[in-house]
Amino acid sequence: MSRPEPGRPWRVAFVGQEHYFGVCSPRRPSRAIDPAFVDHRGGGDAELMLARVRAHRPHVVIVFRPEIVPPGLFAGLDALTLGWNTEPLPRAGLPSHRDLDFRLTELLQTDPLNFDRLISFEPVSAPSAEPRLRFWRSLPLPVADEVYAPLRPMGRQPRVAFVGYSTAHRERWLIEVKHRFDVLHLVHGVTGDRLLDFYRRIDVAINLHVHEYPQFENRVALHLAAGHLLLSEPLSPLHGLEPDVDFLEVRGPKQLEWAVEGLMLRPVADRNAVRVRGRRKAEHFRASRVYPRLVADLAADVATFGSPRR
Amino acid sequence: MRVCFVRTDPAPVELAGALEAAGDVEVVVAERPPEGRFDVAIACDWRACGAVFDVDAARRAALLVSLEHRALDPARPERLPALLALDLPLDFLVTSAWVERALADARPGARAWRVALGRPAPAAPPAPSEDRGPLRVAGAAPEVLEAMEEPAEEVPLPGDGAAPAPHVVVALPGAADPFARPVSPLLPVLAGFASGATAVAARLEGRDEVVAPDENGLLVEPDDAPGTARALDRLARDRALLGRLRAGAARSAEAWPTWEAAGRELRAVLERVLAAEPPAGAAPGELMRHALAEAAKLAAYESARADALLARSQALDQRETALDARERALAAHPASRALVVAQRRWRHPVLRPVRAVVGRLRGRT
Repeated sequence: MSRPEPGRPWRVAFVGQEHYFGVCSPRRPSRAIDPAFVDHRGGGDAELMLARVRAHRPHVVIVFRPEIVPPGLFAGLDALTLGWNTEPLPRAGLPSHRDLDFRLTELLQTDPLNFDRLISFEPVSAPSAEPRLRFWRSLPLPVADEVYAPLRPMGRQPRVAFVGYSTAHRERWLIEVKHRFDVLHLVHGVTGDRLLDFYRRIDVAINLHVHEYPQFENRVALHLAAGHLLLSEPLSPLHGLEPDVDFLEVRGPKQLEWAVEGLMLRPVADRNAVRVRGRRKAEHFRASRVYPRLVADLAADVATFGSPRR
Repeated sequence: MRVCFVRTDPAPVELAGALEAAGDVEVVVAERPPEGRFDVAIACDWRACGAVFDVDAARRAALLVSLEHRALDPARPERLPALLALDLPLDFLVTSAWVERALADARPGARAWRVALGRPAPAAPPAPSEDRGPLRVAGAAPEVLEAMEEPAEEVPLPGDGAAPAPHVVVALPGAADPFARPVSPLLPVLAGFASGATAVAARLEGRDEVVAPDENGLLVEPDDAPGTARALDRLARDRALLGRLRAGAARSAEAWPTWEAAGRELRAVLERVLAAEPPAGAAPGELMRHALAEAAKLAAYESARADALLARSQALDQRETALDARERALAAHPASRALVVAQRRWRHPVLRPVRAVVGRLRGRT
């Protein structure tokens, strides 16, 4: 296993759908990480992906959704490999959902011998993939430094938006709010710089789960980093965020409507304090802080406990 | 200087003892407003913040080791007074940069003074001969210990002569506390350091002001029990790392102010508080705005709870209606009518001896 020379950065290849995970990875080299993103999705040309990974001569390869790597592909790769489960899974003690069952089926296609370690974006549901897959730790998806924006003054009529595709659950929450107020719903297809440009034009973001089951969406951290006041359904896990301190928790469609109404009709000074704290807490997710720590921990853990790949 | 500490929580107020030890200060610790004239009256928890105004004192302050309202479940009504306590005309004595920042975020107008928590009394660290045995862990939740793969032994948190001493103290955020006790999140870590232990702590609530990763401890994600277990496994497996971190922790404990120094610092701060103008507290309009915002949140929680109850009651009604319908259908069925007739005939007095025999055969007396 190669390591960087002292004082040199770790070369890290990030693999996954750039469309979704580009905002979770560093774009520019730093003193700690020299990144390269290799766009790849399940069923794509795996040999081409591997060739592009090798071209970066990585010390570490991080794959978002480890199931997209065909079995045995990383067998001869002289780099530490980390698979990152980014999808919610069924939880013990809670009724499952066909969407969760499908995601679990997909994840279980992962070849554990491709990876030195697997991590999950949240700890609560990770055990459902055991014993086939063992997770080393849980970590929310980081946020690229480019997403972080200084706090801008919030207008008297704050601009409110929801970014995410439509589901019955989401529409049940949004229907009244969208009827009564000027709430923008960005459904699909805006990513990368266009998404960041859109982020700069809104003040308040809404976070809703895809279906009824609880989770912690990546967009939570993205919105906080962009300096938005976040209104969210209860999150699980919280990953260190405090409801009504770092974001405003809404527990039902009516409460969401009241919250938006409050923002539109009354002074926003108190809500602004939540926005300030949320933006500060978002520093926990900053890619340039998370990845150096993660890579160093990965190397130390593999050195201590070994790896099924070696 | 005469200072009184008013508390509703029975926990000891170490800073009171430290202040008294600093000299030239008469200190009273009381559960009710004490008689007599004081220079400063200090509330030790949010419930005591009202009581200090019943003390005859030149200045009034509150000791904030954490923001107590944040330890309460957001749906608890106590959150409202706990939060409004921050609007009172008090000088806030804060014990970490995290509390200072959190107070400034919640109440930008509140006046804060930094005071130090003293270093907990040192305890005997584990003997070098014990370093090869199972890892001694204090403060870990059961699920963390269960997730560990290396041998480990659960031991009590250091303090009050607890033994044996741990190799490592785990400091993660606790669950919502219905009593919101005024306990600093830093204390378990400091107590661990003073007793020769390293720490595995969450990067939250100021713990990372004390724990420097890979120098005196390890930092983990707040909700990650398996990751915390793995960090402990690493310490159990890599004894060189454990030794290095414990040495670093001991150095950090040495550098932390003693209780005597903390007492002197508090006395100096109180002199500055006395010299300054009394704090203004929140304006009435601001206070009402804070109260209304918190009340709206509580109302929303209550409304969500009522909605959930209503939905559950409707589901029960539907189930009962379905059961009634099934019962009626069963009663109307010819087989059901035949069963009723058979049961009646079976109960006829003529058949009593037969029933007795059947009963004995079934094991009845």
